[in-house]
Amino acid sequence: MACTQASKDTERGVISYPSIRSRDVLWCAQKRAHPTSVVGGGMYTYHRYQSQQTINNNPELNRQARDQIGGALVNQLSDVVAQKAASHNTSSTLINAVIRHESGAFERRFLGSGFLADAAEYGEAMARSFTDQGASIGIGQMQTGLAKELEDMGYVNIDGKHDISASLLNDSTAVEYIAGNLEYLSDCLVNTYGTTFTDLSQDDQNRLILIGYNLGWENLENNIDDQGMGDLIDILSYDNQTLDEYNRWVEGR
Amino acid sequence: MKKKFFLFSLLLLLLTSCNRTTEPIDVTVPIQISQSGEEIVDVEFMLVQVKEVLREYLPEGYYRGLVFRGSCADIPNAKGKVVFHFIQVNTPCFLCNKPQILSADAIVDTTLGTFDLKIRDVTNFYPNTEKKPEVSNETFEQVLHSVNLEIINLGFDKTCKVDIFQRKDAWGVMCDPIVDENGIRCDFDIDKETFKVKEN
Repeated sequence: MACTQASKDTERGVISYPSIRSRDVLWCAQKRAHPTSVVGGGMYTYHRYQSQQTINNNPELNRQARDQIGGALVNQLSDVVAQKAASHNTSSTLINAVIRHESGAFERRFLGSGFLADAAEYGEAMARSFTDQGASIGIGQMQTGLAKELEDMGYVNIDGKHDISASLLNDSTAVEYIAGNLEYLSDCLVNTYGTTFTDLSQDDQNRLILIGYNLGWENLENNIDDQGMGDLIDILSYDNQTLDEYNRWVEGR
Repeated sequence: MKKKFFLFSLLLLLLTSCNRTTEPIDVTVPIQISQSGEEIVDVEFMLVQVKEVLREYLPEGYYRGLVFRGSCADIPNAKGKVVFHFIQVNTPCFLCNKPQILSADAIVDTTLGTFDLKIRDVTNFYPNTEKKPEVSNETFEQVLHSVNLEIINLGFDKTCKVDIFQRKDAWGVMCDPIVDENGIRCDFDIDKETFKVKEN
């Protein structure tokens, strides 16, 4: 497989609401807004934003929030993760590390990490499907454009006709995309750098794959060429936020 | 109503993901490798010149590390690339959920006498923002000396390339290839105080 990204305008997403959640959305929308509820809602939103920002800026609170949200998902999805790790020849630890971290992202936490977060992210994906397909959504916070490329390259296999945004917002199918992306990044590193990558310790290989999950392949390659693999692991901390924090959470479980 | 709800949700999401961005900057500038005009690489003098240029772009940028990249045979005379890393952390804008972080890499080619300055917005890439002490000529020379000695001691193939990078507690060394055709591995750390190879 070529380690290139398809141009961003290769797909126009099929827009439909995720069927399971549309009833909840309608229930909320049918309630008429009274002026006091608008003010109250605004104050609530502002307060919630402030409180989530406080959590975001406090490493300990941020860690606790991600442990709680992401940890619950890791436990809930353990069977799916084990199955996808095996079929994608990747490590379940890496998949879990991504889920624990990304599912508790600020943007999702702000909206309660549940159906409202999913609905808002779906709205964003819908809006951006006409431009750059750069909406990062779901428990893996994956861009819809990248998800499409992974499908096109055969790294992600979802049966039948489907809406990519809805698949990314479904916790179980999102695991397929996360695993597929980790497999793709690993293949790219092996194909491009050969033994320079495979002779690294397993821990360093895992860290570079995770850094690639955040940067994207193109940026990862540019950074390795500029800085070298060892330095890159030192100057970026996505691997610490995902892998090290996941290992800490597992030990304390 | 469905449309209104999604527009409201979208607005909330846009607010939470609101961040300013800065376009990448790439410039190439001539640089003097040493004050005396000799062949010796003077990192302190190079750093002064780099900082002077950097001040135009990142006035509050601070030093966060150095990397030497070159062929193993050229370690003693420091011929290759010396990369100086800088970071600038801007206070969050109104409704931004995190501070903007800009990185600047000054890549000095000690053979050509030029440096490329690359400035990037790395806010979303989890940059390590800790400061590191600036490297003196003496330290740089001692690190290169120790690395060169260790590669000779290992009996590692001298046609290799090497990355030497400043970490918090040590200098990391990684050869390319990491394992040579005789099966010898070249991937070690140099203690930042004693300049001796650290035991794993």
